[in-house]
Amino acid sequence: MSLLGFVLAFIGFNLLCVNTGRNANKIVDMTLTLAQQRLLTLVGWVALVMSLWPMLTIDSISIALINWAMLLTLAACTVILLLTYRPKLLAVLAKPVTHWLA
Amino acid sequence: MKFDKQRSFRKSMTWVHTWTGLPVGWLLFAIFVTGTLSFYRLEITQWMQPETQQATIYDQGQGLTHATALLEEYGADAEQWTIGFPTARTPLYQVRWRVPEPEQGEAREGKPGSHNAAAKSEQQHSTAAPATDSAGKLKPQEGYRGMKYFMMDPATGQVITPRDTAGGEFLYRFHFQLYGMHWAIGRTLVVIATFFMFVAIITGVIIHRNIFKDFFSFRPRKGQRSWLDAHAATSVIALPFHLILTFSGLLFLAGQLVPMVAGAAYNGDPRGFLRDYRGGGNIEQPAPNPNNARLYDINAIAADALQRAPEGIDSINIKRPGKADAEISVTTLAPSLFGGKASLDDLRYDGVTGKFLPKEEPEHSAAETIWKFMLTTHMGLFATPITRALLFLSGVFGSVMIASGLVMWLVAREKDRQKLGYMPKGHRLVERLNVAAIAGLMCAVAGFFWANRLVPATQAERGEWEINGFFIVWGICLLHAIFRPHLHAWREQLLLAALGLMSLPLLNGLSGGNFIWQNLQQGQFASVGFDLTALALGLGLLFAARQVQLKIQAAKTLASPAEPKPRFNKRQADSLQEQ
Repeated sequence: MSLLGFVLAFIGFNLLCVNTGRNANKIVDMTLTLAQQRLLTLVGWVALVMSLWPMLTIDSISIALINWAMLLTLAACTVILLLTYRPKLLAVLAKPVTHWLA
Repeated sequence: MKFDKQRSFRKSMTWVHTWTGLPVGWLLFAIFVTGTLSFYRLEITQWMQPETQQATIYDQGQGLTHATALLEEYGADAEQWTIGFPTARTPLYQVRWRVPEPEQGEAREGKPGSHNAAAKSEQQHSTAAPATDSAGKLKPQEGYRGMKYFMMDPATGQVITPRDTAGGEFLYRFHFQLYGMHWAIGRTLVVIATFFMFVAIITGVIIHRNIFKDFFSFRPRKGQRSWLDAHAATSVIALPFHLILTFSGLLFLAGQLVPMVAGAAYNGDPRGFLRDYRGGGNIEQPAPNPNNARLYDINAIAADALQRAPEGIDSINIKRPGKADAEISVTTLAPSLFGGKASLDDLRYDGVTGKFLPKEEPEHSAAETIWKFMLTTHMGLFATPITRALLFLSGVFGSVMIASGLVMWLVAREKDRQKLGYMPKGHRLVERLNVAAIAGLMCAVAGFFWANRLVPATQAERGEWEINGFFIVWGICLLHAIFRPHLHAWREQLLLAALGLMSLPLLNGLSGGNFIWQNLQQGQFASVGFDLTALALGLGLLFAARQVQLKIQAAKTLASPAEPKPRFNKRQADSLQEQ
């Protein structure tokens, strides 16, 4: 487990969830253009894949993969809980991105 | 269900998903819950032996010397010694030795002499032994296959004799071979259920084409919508876990379902595959050397091993102590995919000269690597505390996924029932089984732990009584679910389970163990973890009970006194039909 991995996975899931229509407005209070959506999705996926890398530096590949799967679970769980019960916290986290997108 | 209508692929998959999930869902829930608990089976066993909580477990550096002295005194004629070190999961030294005796047929589980987590807990299945005999000598506890052992306080070297318990081992065994039937039948049932589970997972993924869309939209308190969301969210969050665990579970028990496949490669010898897989089966053992020789200092070996593996030592295993061909192997806490059953690396030393013996790494085939990966993952062998906790959490998600799926079957048919105007027999059956299998099982688990403390510590066949407690509570819950109205049965059983689990930390302190703060001070973190987990699970169940309570109240306020209560009418119609 590593903090960097968690942060990457968290960002990844967060960006993906900004883009899945139903919840976008909970986090970023604006309509995104298609190009912006595509970019965010791409960055989200890249961040998710990247979160495997810190795992690989700690353990051998088989153990790293399991740690990664568990890390993804934890990150996704955090995002969903925040999104459902404390979307404002996610909005705060997304603020820098909102400025840049506007 | 009508089969004559044309339907889309996804609709067909939904049908398969529903009807593979429902018939085995109740069994799967039990497998998932007991399996999830098995991630902590050493900790559970330890909690169920509160005598171990009396130890002052901080090792002052004398522990190994005490352990060796015990072995020299009691195991002088043994063919093998094992010193299990205190780790985060097992706070006491386990000093084990095996006296030679004729090999018995029932050697299915693990090879003899494997010094690993599984073997450790196996021995706790032993009969309770009185602490001393008439000569003032300590009487060791007895494990499987001629194994004798002591549990020892690391700080004082004092031998601790814990009570006999079914322990985490019962839950672990239940999750793959059930109980009260021949193991082959139990495993076959489990593997069939696992197969259905695998089908349900794959069809579930197909149904949810927009997997992330559903995944990020949990909408609580919206009736059927919320159940669907909860079902999808718990499935998708831990999807890697569900896939790997189900698939590997299927692999392990595949021999039950298709026994001829592995045998075919070995000219019909079903054991051949296992022998090859476990390794060492083909290696010629050299004839034992009968000459005596002094065993090398184990403390020095441990110190050397710690330098080579700073992660720490899990156990030290000494083959043929006191003989000229003695061999010492140190299992370290360093994870290693191919390192024995516990997936820990081991270092080997010559038992007389103390020379380090580098081992040659054999080639591993892709199939073997994948198999080992599956095994290691399924059992959480290498897992660090965080990974283990997340595996447990994923298991909880899996259990919630199955439970919500079962409940959803009913919720989704609410409209059908309203149209019909009465409760069909099948629906009532599902209702009853849902309550008994979900809430009832949680009550049974709480009952199991309560039985552990209520059955006297010296009772003969203690472990059996704990297991009886488990099934008696479960049986009562089934009866209760049959005779009580659906929502009331839910509320009462959830409440019972919640109270039963939440009171465990108190019970622990009051019946031989420690309270949480005492355990914290003593460094008994495994028991602290048990108590806190029980508390958290209990709170979760209490929340669920509260939701049911709200639902009952809402139904009451909806049904004005002038109108007849709809629920009662349905039940009446149902019971009339039954007669």
